[in-house]
Amino acid sequence: MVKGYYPKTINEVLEILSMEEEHMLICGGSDLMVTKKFAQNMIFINQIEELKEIKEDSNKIYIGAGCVYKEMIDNEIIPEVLREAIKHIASPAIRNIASIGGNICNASPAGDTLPVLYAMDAIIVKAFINKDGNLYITRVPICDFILGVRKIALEKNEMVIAIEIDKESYKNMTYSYYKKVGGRKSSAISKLSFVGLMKIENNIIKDVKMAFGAVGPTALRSREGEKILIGTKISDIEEKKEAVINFYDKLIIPIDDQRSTAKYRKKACLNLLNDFITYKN
Amino acid sequence: MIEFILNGNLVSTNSDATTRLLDVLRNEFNLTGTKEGCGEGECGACSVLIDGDLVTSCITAIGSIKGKTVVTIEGFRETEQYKVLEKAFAKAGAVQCGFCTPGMILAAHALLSKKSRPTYEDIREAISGNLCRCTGYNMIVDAIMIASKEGKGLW
Ligand SMILES: Cc1cc2nc3c(=O)[nH]c(=O)nc-3n(C[C@H](O)[C@H](O)[C@H](O)COP(=O)(O)OP(=O)(O)OC[C@H]3O[C@@H](n4cnc5c(N)ncnc54)[C@H](O)[C@@H]3O)c2cc1C
Ligand code: FES
Ligand code: FES
Repeated sequence: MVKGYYPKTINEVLEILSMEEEHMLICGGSDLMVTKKFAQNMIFINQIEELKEIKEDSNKIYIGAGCVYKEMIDNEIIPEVLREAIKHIASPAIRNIASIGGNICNASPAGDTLPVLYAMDAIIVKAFINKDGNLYITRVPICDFILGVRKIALEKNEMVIAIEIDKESYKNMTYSYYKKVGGRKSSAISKLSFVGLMKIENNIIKDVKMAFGAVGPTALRSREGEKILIGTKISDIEEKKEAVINFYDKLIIPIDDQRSTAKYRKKACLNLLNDFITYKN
Repeated sequence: MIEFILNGNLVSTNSDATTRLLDVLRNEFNLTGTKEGCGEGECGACSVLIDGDLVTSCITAIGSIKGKTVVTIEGFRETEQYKVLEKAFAKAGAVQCGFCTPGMILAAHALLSKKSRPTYEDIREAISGNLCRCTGYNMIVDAIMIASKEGKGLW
Protein backbone atom coordinates (compact mmCIF):
# COMPACT_ATOMS: atom_id res chain seq x y z
CA MET A 1 0.00 0.00 0.00
CA VAL A 2 1.25 3.46 -0.92
CA LYS A 3 1.70 5.75 2.06
CA GLY A 4 0.84 9.41 1.64
CA TYR A 5 2.60 12.28 3.42
CA TYR A 6 1.03 15.72 3.63
CA PRO A 7 3.67 18.18 4.81
CA LYS A 8 2.71 21.83 5.26
CA THR A 9 6.16 23.42 4.93
CA ILE A 10 9.32 22.99 2.86
CA ASN A 11 11.17 22.00 6.04
CA GLU A 12 8.74 19.17 6.70
CA VAL A 13 9.23 17.88 3.15
CA LEU A 14 13.01 17.92 3.55
CA GLU A 15 12.77 16.05 6.83
CA ILE A 16 10.77 13.29 5.19
CA LEU A 17 13.20 13.22 2.24
CA SER A 18 16.16 12.81 4.59
CA MET A 19 14.77 9.53 5.93
CA GLU A 20 16.02 6.22 4.56
CA GLU A 21 12.95 4.88 2.75
CA GLU A 22 12.17 5.36 -0.91
CA HIS A 23 10.17 8.55 -1.43
CA MET A 24 8.70 10.44 -4.33
CA LEU A 25 7.34 13.96 -4.56
CA ILE A 26 4.02 14.55 -6.27
CA CYS A 27 2.75 18.04 -7.03
CA GLY A 28 -0.12 18.33 -9.55
CA GLY A 29 0.36 14.71 -10.59
CA SER A 30 -0.37 15.51 -14.24
CA ASP A 31 2.76 13.65 -15.32
CA LEU A 32 2.90 11.03 -12.56
CA MET A 33 -0.77 10.00 -12.73
CA VAL A 34 -0.33 9.24 -16.43
CA THR A 35 2.88 7.18 -16.09
CA LYS A 36 1.64 5.72 -12.76
CA LYS A 37 5.14 4.94 -11.55
CA PHE A 38 4.92 5.62 -7.84
CA ALA A 39 7.16 5.00 -4.85
CA GLN A 40 6.09 3.28 -1.64
CA ASN A 41 5.94 6.69 0.04
CA MET A 42 4.39 9.61 -1.80
CA ILE A 43 4.88 13.17 -0.56
CA PHE A 44 2.07 15.49 -1.65
CA ILE A 45 3.45 18.99 -2.05
CA ASN A 46 0.57 20.66 -3.90
CA GLN A 47 -0.84 22.31 -0.75
CA ILE A 48 2.36 23.93 0.53
CA GLU A 49 1.82 27.69 0.50
CA GLU A 50 5.57 28.44 0.67
CA LEU A 51 6.00 26.76 -2.71
CA LYS A 52 3.39 28.99 -4.37
CA GLU A 53 5.13 32.31 -3.95
CA ILE A 54 5.76 34.59 -6.90
CA LYS A 55 7.85 37.63 -6.01
CA GLU A 56 10.45 40.04 -7.33
CA ASP A 57 13.16 42.40 -6.22
CA SER A 58 14.94 44.96 -8.38
CA ASN A 59 17.21 42.36 -10.00
CA LYS A 60 15.36 39.09 -10.22
CA ILE A 61 12.07 37.27 -10.02
CA TYR A 62 11.33 34.24 -7.88
CA ILE A 63 8.74 31.60 -8.80
CA GLY A 64 7.89 28.92 -6.24
CA ALA A 65 8.23 25.40 -7.65
CA GLY A 66 4.62 24.60 -6.72
CA CYS A 67 3.11 27.46 -8.73
CA VAL A 68 0.52 26.13 -11.14
CA TYR A 69 0.10 27.54 -14.63
CA LYS A 70 -3.25 29.14 -13.85
CA GLU A 71 -1.58 31.28 -11.17
CA MET A 72 1.23 32.29 -13.53
CA ILE A 73 -0.75 33.20 -16.65
CA ASP A 74 -2.20 36.42 -15.23
CA ASN A 75 0.69 37.40 -12.99
CA GLU A 76 2.53 40.43 -14.35
CA ILE A 77 5.71 39.50 -12.51
CA ILE A 78 6.07 36.48 -14.79
CA PRO A 79 7.92 37.37 -18.03
CA GLU A 80 5.52 37.74 -20.93
CA VAL A 81 7.25 35.18 -23.12
CA LEU A 82 6.95 32.56 -20.36
CA ARG A 83 3.25 33.37 -19.95
CA GLU A 84 2.83 33.01 -23.70
CA ALA A 85 4.38 29.53 -23.56
CA ILE A 86 2.19 28.54 -20.60
CA LYS A 87 -0.98 29.59 -22.41
CA HIS A 88 -0.24 26.90 -24.97
CA ILE A 89 0.23 24.11 -22.42
CA ALA A 90 -2.52 21.49 -22.19
CA SER A 91 -6.04 22.73 -21.34
CA PRO A 92 -7.62 24.91 -18.62
CA ALA A 93 -8.30 21.91 -16.36
CA ILE A 94 -4.67 20.74 -16.51
CA ARG A 95 -3.35 24.28 -16.07
CA ASN A 96 -5.32 24.43 -12.81
CA ILE A 97 -3.16 21.68 -11.28
CA ALA A 98 0.08 21.38 -13.28
CA SER A 99 3.12 23.07 -11.74
CA ILE A 100 6.25 24.60 -13.22
CA GLY A 101 8.40 22.59 -10.80
CA GLY A 102 6.77 19.41 -12.12
CA ASN A 103 7.45 20.42 -15.72
CA ILE A 104 11.14 21.02 -14.95
CA CYS A 105 11.66 17.90 -12.82
CA ASN A 106 9.83 15.71 -15.30
CA ALA A 107 12.54 16.75 -17.81
CA SER A 108 10.59 15.68 -20.86
CA PRO A 109 12.08 16.74 -24.21
CA ALA A 110 8.64 18.21 -24.92
CA GLY A 111 8.39 20.16 -21.65
CA ASP A 112 7.17 23.54 -22.88
CA THR A 113 8.55 25.79 -20.15
CA LEU A 114 12.07 24.43 -20.66
CA PRO A 115 13.19 26.24 -23.84
CA VAL A 116 11.90 29.50 -22.39
CA LEU A 117 13.76 28.90 -19.13
CA TYR A 118 16.91 28.03 -21.11
CA ALA A 119 16.62 31.22 -23.14
CA MET A 120 16.36 33.27 -19.93
CA ASP A 121 19.19 31.42 -18.14
CA ALA A 122 16.83 30.44 -15.32
CA ILE A 123 18.35 29.26 -12.06
CA ILE A 124 16.93 26.22 -10.26
CA VAL A 125 16.88 26.64 -6.48
CA LYS A 126 17.25 23.34 -4.60
CA ALA A 127 17.13 22.59 -0.89
CA PHE A 128 18.07 19.73 1.41
CA ILE A 129 18.69 19.00 5.08
CA ASN A 130 21.96 17.29 5.94
CA LYS A 131 22.56 14.68 8.67
CA ASP A 132 23.06 17.37 11.33
CA GLY A 133 19.69 18.85 10.50
CA ASN A 134 21.04 21.96 8.79
CA LEU A 135 19.20 23.42 5.82
CA TYR A 136 21.17 23.97 2.62
CA ILE A 137 20.05 25.89 -0.43
CA THR A 138 21.91 25.53 -3.72
CA ARG A 139 21.46 27.19 -7.10
CA VAL A 140 22.06 25.53 -10.47
CA PRO A 141 21.59 26.94 -13.99
CA ILE A 142 18.79 25.09 -15.74
CA CYS A 143 21.13 23.76 -18.43
CA ASP A 144 23.17 21.99 -15.71
CA PHE A 145 20.07 20.79 -13.85
CA ILE A 146 18.55 18.97 -16.80
CA LEU A 147 20.91 16.17 -17.75
CA GLY A 148 18.90 14.29 -20.36
CA VAL A 149 15.54 12.70 -21.05
CA ARG A 150 13.88 12.47 -17.61
CA LYS A 151 17.27 12.90 -15.94
CA ILE A 152 17.91 15.74 -13.53
CA ALA A 153 20.66 16.74 -11.13
CA LEU A 154 18.71 16.08 -7.95
CA GLU A 155 19.84 13.95 -5.01
CA LYS A 156 17.42 11.71 -3.11
CA ASN A 157 17.28 14.12 -0.16
CA GLU A 158 16.78 17.21 -2.33
CA MET A 159 13.79 19.04 -3.74
CA VAL A 160 13.38 21.99 -6.06
CA ILE A 161 11.89 24.92 -4.18
CA ALA A 162 11.94 27.68 -6.78
CA ILE A 163 13.05 29.09 -10.09
CA GLU A 164 14.89 32.41 -10.21
CA ILE A 165 15.25 34.55 -13.30
CA ASP A 166 17.51 37.56 -13.66
CA LYS A 167 15.51 40.50 -15.00
CA GLU A 168 18.43 41.48 -17.24
CA SER A 169 17.78 38.34 -19.24
CA TYR A 170 14.37 39.40 -20.52
CA LYS A 171 13.67 43.05 -19.67
CA ASN A 172 14.59 45.77 -22.15
CA MET A 173 14.36 43.35 -25.05
CA THR A 174 13.14 44.90 -28.28
CA TYR A 175 10.91 41.91 -28.92
CA SER A 176 10.24 38.40 -27.83
CA TYR A 177 8.93 35.58 -29.95
CA TYR A 178 7.36 32.24 -29.03
CA LYS A 179 5.89 29.58 -31.28
CA LYS A 180 4.73 26.10 -30.42
CA VAL A 181 3.96 23.67 -33.22
CA GLY A 182 1.53 20.96 -32.17
CA GLY A 183 -1.05 18.73 -33.82
CA ARG A 184 -3.91 20.99 -32.78
CA LYS A 185 -4.54 24.10 -30.77
CA SER A 186 -5.35 22.63 -27.36
CA SER A 187 -3.89 19.73 -25.36
CA ALA A 188 -1.20 19.09 -27.94
CA ILE A 189 2.26 17.91 -26.94
CA SER A 190 4.85 19.92 -28.87
CA LYS A 191 6.23 18.62 -32.15
CA LEU A 192 8.69 21.46 -31.68
CA SER A 193 8.81 24.92 -30.20
CA PHE A 194 10.97 27.99 -30.57
CA VAL A 195 11.62 30.95 -28.32
CA GLY A 196 13.63 34.03 -29.15
CA LEU A 197 14.50 37.28 -27.38
CA MET A 198 16.08 40.12 -29.36
CA LYS A 199 17.62 43.36 -28.18
CA ILE A 200 18.31 46.02 -30.80
CA GLU A 201 19.97 49.36 -29.97
CA ASN A 202 20.95 52.02 -32.49
CA ASN A 203 20.08 49.57 -35.27
CA ILE A 204 22.55 47.01 -33.97
CA ILE A 205 21.71 43.62 -32.44
CA LYS A 206 22.97 44.02 -28.86
CA ASP A 207 21.76 40.70 -27.54
CA VAL A 208 19.89 37.66 -28.73
CA LYS A 209 18.77 34.47 -27.00
CA MET A 210 17.22 31.55 -28.82
CA ALA A 211 16.16 28.08 -27.76
CA PHE A 212 14.39 25.15 -29.41
CA GLY A 213 12.15 22.60 -27.69
CA ALA A 214 11.32 18.97 -28.55
CA VAL A 215 14.09 18.57 -31.13
CA GLY A 216 16.62 16.82 -28.87
CA PRO A 217 16.89 15.15 -25.46
CA THR A 218 16.91 18.57 -23.77
CA ALA A 219 16.04 22.07 -24.89
CA LEU A 220 18.64 23.33 -27.33
CA ARG A 221 20.45 26.63 -26.92
CA SER A 222 23.78 27.65 -28.41
CA ARG A 223 25.79 30.71 -27.40
CA GLU A 224 27.92 30.16 -30.47
CA GLY A 225 24.92 30.49 -32.74
CA GLU A 226 23.78 33.61 -30.92
CA LYS A 227 27.23 35.17 -31.25
CA ILE A 228 26.93 35.09 -35.04
CA LEU A 229 24.12 37.62 -34.71
CA ILE A 230 25.31 39.80 -31.84
CA GLY A 231 26.88 43.02 -33.13
CA THR A 232 25.17 42.76 -36.52
CA LYS A 233 23.72 45.91 -38.08
CA ILE A 234 20.04 45.53 -38.89
CA SER A 235 20.83 46.51 -42.49
CA ASP A 236 23.22 43.54 -42.72
CA ILE A 237 20.82 40.97 -41.33
CA GLU A 238 19.99 39.41 -44.68
CA GLU A 239 23.66 38.53 -45.17
CA LYS A 240 24.11 37.10 -41.67
CA LYS A 241 20.88 35.18 -41.80
CA GLU A 242 22.26 32.49 -44.04
CA ALA A 243 25.22 31.83 -41.72
CA VAL A 244 22.90 31.55 -38.73
CA ILE A 245 20.49 29.23 -40.48
CA ASN A 246 23.34 27.06 -41.75
CA PHE A 247 24.75 26.89 -38.24
CA TYR A 248 21.48 25.69 -36.72
CA ASP A 249 20.85 23.39 -39.67
CA LYS A 250 23.93 21.46 -38.58
CA LEU A 251 23.22 21.75 -34.86
CA ILE A 252 19.61 20.60 -34.76
CA ILE A 253 19.36 16.83 -35.03
CA PRO A 254 15.74 15.91 -34.38
CA ILE A 255 14.25 12.42 -34.41
CA ASP A 256 11.21 10.74 -35.95
CA ASP A 257 8.55 9.78 -33.43
CA GLN A 258 4.78 9.37 -33.22
CA ARG A 259 4.25 13.14 -33.18
CA SER A 260 6.38 14.22 -36.11
CA THR A 261 9.30 13.45 -38.42
CA ALA A 262 12.89 14.65 -38.16
CA LYS A 263 12.58 16.31 -41.55
CA TYR A 264 9.47 18.27 -40.65
CA ARG A 265 10.93 19.33 -37.33
CA LYS A 266 14.16 20.57 -38.86
CA LYS A 267 12.38 22.52 -41.58
CA ALA A 268 9.89 24.10 -39.18
CA CYS A 269 12.68 25.06 -36.72
CA LEU A 270 14.66 26.82 -39.41
CA ASN A 271 11.57 28.60 -40.72
CA LEU A 272 10.72 29.88 -37.25
CA LEU A 273 14.32 30.96 -36.75
CA ASN A 274 14.17 32.88 -40.01
CA ASP A 275 10.85 34.43 -39.05
CA PHE A 276 12.23 35.50 -35.67
CA ILE A 277 15.41 37.07 -37.04
CA THR A 278 13.56 39.11 -39.63
CA TYR A 279 10.53 39.74 -37.42
CA LYS A 280 10.85 43.51 -37.10
CA ASN A 281 12.22 44.29 -40.55
CA MET B 1 -7.63 8.07 5.80
CA ILE B 2 -8.21 11.05 3.53
CA GLU B 3 -11.00 13.48 4.29
CA PHE B 4 -12.51 15.95 1.87
CA ILE B 5 -15.78 17.75 1.24
CA LEU B 6 -17.88 16.11 -1.43
CA ASN B 7 -20.94 17.96 -2.71
CA GLY B 8 -21.25 19.76 0.60
CA ASN B 9 -20.65 16.81 2.95
CA LEU B 10 -17.50 15.89 4.85
CA VAL B 11 -16.50 12.43 3.64
CA SER B 12 -13.48 10.17 3.94
CA THR B 13 -11.82 7.32 2.07
CA ASN B 14 -9.31 4.65 3.00
CA SER B 15 -8.09 4.25 -0.55
CA ASP B 16 -4.40 4.47 -1.40
CA ALA B 17 -3.17 8.06 -1.70
CA THR B 18 -2.48 7.60 -5.42
CA THR B 19 -5.96 6.26 -6.22
CA ARG B 20 -7.61 8.35 -8.89
CA LEU B 21 -10.31 10.70 -7.61
CA LEU B 22 -12.41 9.40 -10.53
CA ASP B 23 -12.40 5.85 -9.09
CA VAL B 24 -13.20 7.03 -5.59
CA LEU B 25 -16.16 9.03 -6.88
CA ARG B 26 -17.58 6.28 -9.05
CA ASN B 27 -16.76 3.18 -6.97
CA GLU B 28 -16.99 4.38 -3.38
CA PHE B 29 -19.62 7.08 -3.66
CA ASN B 30 -21.58 5.78 -6.68
CA LEU B 31 -21.33 9.16 -8.35
CA THR B 32 -21.39 7.84 -11.90
CA GLY B 33 -22.15 11.18 -13.55
CA THR B 34 -18.39 11.65 -13.67
CA LYS B 35 -17.36 9.70 -16.80
CA GLU B 36 -14.15 8.05 -17.86
CA GLY B 37 -13.12 8.62 -21.46
CA CYS B 38 -9.39 8.65 -22.03
CA GLY B 39 -8.09 8.24 -18.48
CA GLU B 40 -5.16 10.50 -19.36
CA GLY B 41 -6.39 14.04 -18.85
CA GLU B 42 -7.15 14.65 -22.50
CA CYS B 43 -10.91 14.42 -22.97
CA GLY B 44 -12.50 16.17 -19.97
CA ALA B 45 -15.30 13.59 -19.50
CA CYS B 46 -14.15 13.13 -15.89
CA SER B 47 -14.12 16.85 -15.04
CA VAL B 48 -15.14 17.96 -11.55
CA LEU B 49 -14.70 21.19 -9.62
CA ILE B 50 -12.04 21.31 -6.92
CA ASP B 51 -12.20 24.42 -4.78
CA GLY B 52 -14.19 25.87 -7.68
CA ASP B 53 -11.62 25.08 -10.37
CA LEU B 54 -12.19 22.65 -13.23
CA VAL B 55 -9.98 19.57 -12.82
CA THR B 56 -9.82 16.21 -14.61
CA SER B 57 -10.44 13.61 -11.90
CA CYS B 58 -8.74 10.78 -13.83
CA ILE B 59 -5.30 12.28 -13.22
CA THR B 60 -6.04 13.63 -9.75
CA ALA B 61 -4.62 11.53 -6.93
CA ILE B 62 -6.98 11.37 -3.98
CA GLY B 63 -4.08 12.43 -1.73
CA SER B 64 -3.80 15.75 -3.51
CA ILE B 65 -7.35 16.80 -2.58
CA LYS B 66 -7.04 16.17 1.15
CA GLY B 67 -9.20 18.79 2.89
CA LYS B 68 -10.42 20.28 -0.38
CA THR B 69 -13.93 20.78 -1.72
CA VAL B 70 -15.11 18.60 -4.60
CA VAL B 71 -18.28 19.25 -6.58
CA THR B 72 -19.44 16.67 -9.12
CA ILE B 73 -22.28 17.03 -11.60
CA GLU B 74 -24.59 15.44 -8.99
CA GLY B 75 -23.80 18.19 -6.52
CA PHE B 76 -23.95 20.91 -9.14
CA ARG B 77 -27.43 19.72 -10.21
CA GLU B 78 -28.87 21.26 -7.06
CA THR B 79 -27.88 24.80 -8.02
CA GLU B 80 -29.73 27.58 -9.86
CA GLN B 81 -26.84 27.86 -12.29
CA TYR B 82 -27.31 24.23 -13.27
CA LYS B 83 -30.95 24.86 -14.15
CA VAL B 84 -29.98 27.67 -16.48
CA LEU B 85 -27.31 25.56 -18.15
CA GLU B 86 -29.62 22.56 -18.45
CA LYS B 87 -32.26 24.64 -20.24
CA ALA B 88 -29.69 26.29 -22.47
CA PHE B 89 -28.15 22.94 -23.47
CA ALA B 90 -31.61 21.59 -24.30
CA LYS B 91 -32.56 24.70 -26.25
CA ALA B 92 -29.39 24.66 -28.34
CA GLY B 93 -29.51 20.90 -28.95
CA ALA B 94 -26.11 20.59 -27.29
CA VAL B 95 -26.66 17.06 -25.96
CA GLN B 96 -26.57 13.99 -28.16
CA CYS B 97 -25.14 10.87 -26.52
CA GLY B 98 -24.51 12.90 -23.36
CA PHE B 99 -21.18 11.35 -22.43
CA CYS B 100 -19.31 14.66 -22.54
CA THR B 101 -22.17 16.68 -21.05
CA PRO B 102 -21.36 16.55 -17.30
CA GLY B 103 -17.83 17.76 -18.06
CA MET B 104 -19.06 20.40 -20.50
CA ILE B 105 -21.58 21.75 -17.98
CA LEU B 106 -18.92 22.03 -15.28
CA ALA B 107 -16.47 23.63 -17.73
CA ALA B 108 -19.19 26.12 -18.66
CA HIS B 109 -19.85 26.91 -15.02
CA ALA B 110 -16.12 27.35 -14.31
CA LEU B 111 -15.94 29.84 -17.18
CA LEU B 112 -19.08 31.78 -16.28
CA SER B 113 -17.95 32.03 -12.64
CA LYS B 114 -14.88 33.90 -13.86
CA LYS B 115 -16.45 35.76 -16.76
CA SER B 116 -20.23 36.01 -16.80
CA ARG B 117 -20.35 37.52 -20.30
CA PRO B 118 -17.79 35.55 -22.28
CA THR B 119 -17.02 35.94 -25.98
CA TYR B 120 -17.30 33.00 -28.37
CA GLU B 121 -13.53 32.76 -28.23
CA ASP B 122 -13.56 32.60 -24.41
CA ILE B 123 -16.07 29.76 -24.58
CA ARG B 124 -14.03 27.75 -27.07
CA GLU B 125 -10.93 28.22 -24.92
CA ALA B 126 -12.83 27.20 -21.75
CA ILE B 127 -14.04 23.92 -23.28
CA SER B 128 -10.80 23.26 -25.16
CA GLY B 129 -9.98 20.34 -22.85
CA ASN B 130 -13.42 18.75 -23.28
CA LEU B 131 -13.92 16.52 -26.29
CA CYS B 132 -17.31 15.81 -27.84
CA ARG B 133 -17.66 13.09 -30.45
CA CYS B 134 -21.23 13.96 -31.42
CA THR B 135 -22.17 17.60 -31.68
CA GLY B 136 -19.33 19.26 -33.53
CA TYR B 137 -19.14 21.79 -30.66
CA ASN B 138 -21.11 24.63 -32.23
CA MET B 139 -24.29 23.76 -30.33
CA ILE B 140 -22.36 23.53 -27.08
CA VAL B 141 -20.79 26.92 -27.65
CA ASP B 142 -24.23 28.35 -28.46
CA ALA B 143 -25.68 26.75 -25.33
CA ILE B 144 -23.08 28.40 -23.12
CA MET B 145 -23.73 31.74 -24.80
CA ILE B 146 -27.46 31.34 -24.17
CA ALA B 147 -26.80 30.45 -20.53
CA SER B 148 -24.66 33.54 -20.07
CA LYS B 149 -27.54 35.69 -21.29
CA GLU B 150 -30.32 33.88 -19.46
CA GLY B 151 -28.42 33.54 -16.22
CA LYS B 152 -28.19 37.24 -15.51
CA GLY B 153 -26.96 37.90 -11.99
CA LEU B 154 -26.35 34.23 -11.21
CA TRP B 155 -22.68 34.29 -12.14
C1 LIG C 1 -3.55 16.07 -20.97
C2 LIG C 1 -2.17 16.58 -20.68
C3 LIG C 1 -1.62 17.55 -21.50
C4 LIG C 1 -0.33 18.04 -21.24
N1 LIG C 1 0.16 18.99 -22.07
C5 LIG C 1 1.41 19.48 -21.86
C6 LIG C 1 1.95 20.49 -22.71
O1 LIG C 1 1.30 20.96 -23.65
N2 LIG C 1 3.21 20.93 -22.46
C7 LIG C 1 3.96 20.45 -21.42
O2 LIG C 1 5.08 20.89 -21.23
N3 LIG C 1 3.46 19.49 -20.59
C8 LIG C 1 2.22 19.00 -20.78
N4 LIG C 1 1.72 18.03 -19.96
C9 LIG C 1 2.57 17.49 -18.89
C10 LIG C 1 2.38 18.08 -17.49
O3 LIG C 1 1.12 18.66 -17.34
C11 LIG C 1 3.44 19.13 -17.14
O4 LIG C 1 4.73 18.57 -17.28
C12 LIG C 1 3.27 19.66 -15.71
O5 LIG C 1 3.92 20.90 -15.61
C13 LIG C 1 3.75 18.73 -14.61
O6 LIG C 1 3.52 19.31 -13.35
P1 LIG C 1 2.86 18.49 -12.13
O7 LIG C 1 2.88 19.39 -10.96
O8 LIG C 1 1.55 17.93 -12.54
O9 LIG C 1 3.94 17.32 -12.02
P2 LIG C 1 3.90 15.93 -11.21
O10 LIG C 1 3.29 14.89 -12.08
O11 LIG C 1 3.36 16.11 -9.85
O12 LIG C 1 5.48 15.66 -11.09
C14 LIG C 1 6.30 15.47 -12.22
C15 LIG C 1 7.70 15.03 -11.77
O13 LIG C 1 8.37 16.09 -11.08
C16 LIG C 1 8.73 15.70 -9.76
N5 LIG C 1 8.56 16.92 -8.94
C17 LIG C 1 7.46 17.71 -8.89
N6 LIG C 1 7.70 18.79 -8.12
C18 LIG C 1 8.98 18.69 -7.67
C19 LIG C 1 9.81 19.49 -6.83
N7 LIG C 1 9.37 20.64 -6.29
N8 LIG C 1 11.07 19.08 -6.58
C20 LIG C 1 11.53 17.93 -7.11
N9 LIG C 1 10.80 17.12 -7.91
C21 LIG C 1 9.53 17.49 -8.20
C22 LIG C 1 7.85 14.53 -9.41
O14 LIG C 1 8.45 13.69 -8.47
C23 LIG C 1 7.70 13.88 -10.78
O15 LIG C 1 8.82 13.09 -11.05
C24 LIG C 1 0.42 17.53 -20.17
C25 LIG C 1 -0.14 16.56 -19.33
C26 LIG C 1 -1.41 16.09 -19.56
C27 LIG C 1 -2.00 15.06 -18.66
S1 FES D 1 -11.12 10.54 -18.58
FE1 FES D 1 -10.19 12.16 -17.57
S2 FES D 1 -9.72 13.53 -19.13
FE2 FES D 1 -10.40 11.81 -20.22
S1 FES E 1 -22.78 14.54 -26.91
FE1 FES E 1 -21.77 12.67 -27.34
S2 FES E 1 -19.76 13.14 -26.79
FE2 FES E 1 -20.69 15.03 -26.66
